[in-house]
Amino acid sequence: MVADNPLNLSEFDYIVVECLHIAGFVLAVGMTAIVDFRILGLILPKQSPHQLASFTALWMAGGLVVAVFSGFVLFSVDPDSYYKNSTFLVKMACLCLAIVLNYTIHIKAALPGAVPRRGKIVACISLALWVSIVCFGIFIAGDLLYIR
Amino acid sequence: MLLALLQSIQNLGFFVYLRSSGYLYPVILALHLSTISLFGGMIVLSDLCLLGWIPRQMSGAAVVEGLRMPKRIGFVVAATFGLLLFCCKAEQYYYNVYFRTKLLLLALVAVHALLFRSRVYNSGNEMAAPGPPQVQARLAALLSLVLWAGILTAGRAIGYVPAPRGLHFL
Repeated sequence: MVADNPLNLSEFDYIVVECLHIAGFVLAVGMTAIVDFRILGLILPKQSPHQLASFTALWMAGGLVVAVFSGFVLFSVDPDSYYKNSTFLVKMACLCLAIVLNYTIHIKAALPGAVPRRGKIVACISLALWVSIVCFGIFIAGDLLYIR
Repeated sequence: MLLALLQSIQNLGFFVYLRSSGYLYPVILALHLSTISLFGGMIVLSDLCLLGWIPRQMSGAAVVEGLRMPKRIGFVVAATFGLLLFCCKAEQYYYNVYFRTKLLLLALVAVHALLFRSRVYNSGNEMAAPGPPQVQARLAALLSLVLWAGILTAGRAIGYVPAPRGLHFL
């Protein structure tokens, strides 16, 4: 490591930050999934996708902020090894893509006049991306996506 | 007796294979966490409805009722992956204080369901009534959020307890 981590996390602190990270992304992914499942016609037929999307947006954003900030703290503990970890880099690429998608075509897919078929494709891509981000987070530990 | 049973479960060929596989075990762990992520939001949304923190044009009673079955499906899928993880290291988990805490909190979730199902969750008409939600509904929501947050925390902490010596892994 080039410099010592100024945060100097104890194991207890580290677990607390990890729990915040998990709680944050469960909220973010869970709220997005509600909208996606609704667009796919799987849940809550009495509520419109737009209604659900506008209500969950704030909670999703809140969860995302907590997850990203706590994730950055976890990253800061050992940036060198994360930087060399292929799985981490793939996760970050997927995360950027998911955030961009969430605030562009995903918003449009939940609007009242959206084309249902296009909306369903967007919902599937959104679900796949968020699930892959969660999975890659687990895979960082063994760098399971190691690219030579 | 229980310990002997757990030892024989973890040493079944299938679980020995899962445990020693460099890929399958993390994949099951990832699926466990993915299911929790996909369905955890539904628990939060139901509880927000019970707290009355939703827009007026949304029917809290309809949302709580509509999310009941999806939440059950999510729980069964997450618990199935969790059971697979447990069976791979059953003896180690038996000694793990956070695993025991997690089971205790899950038992309290069952008690929560028994206590509040008829009073809060099945009384959709009362929830749909105008005015602030009942005290019981708010209490049910708060307890649910605290219990699930505790389960999440205990679940994460399981991995930090070192395995005791002398486990009977094949």
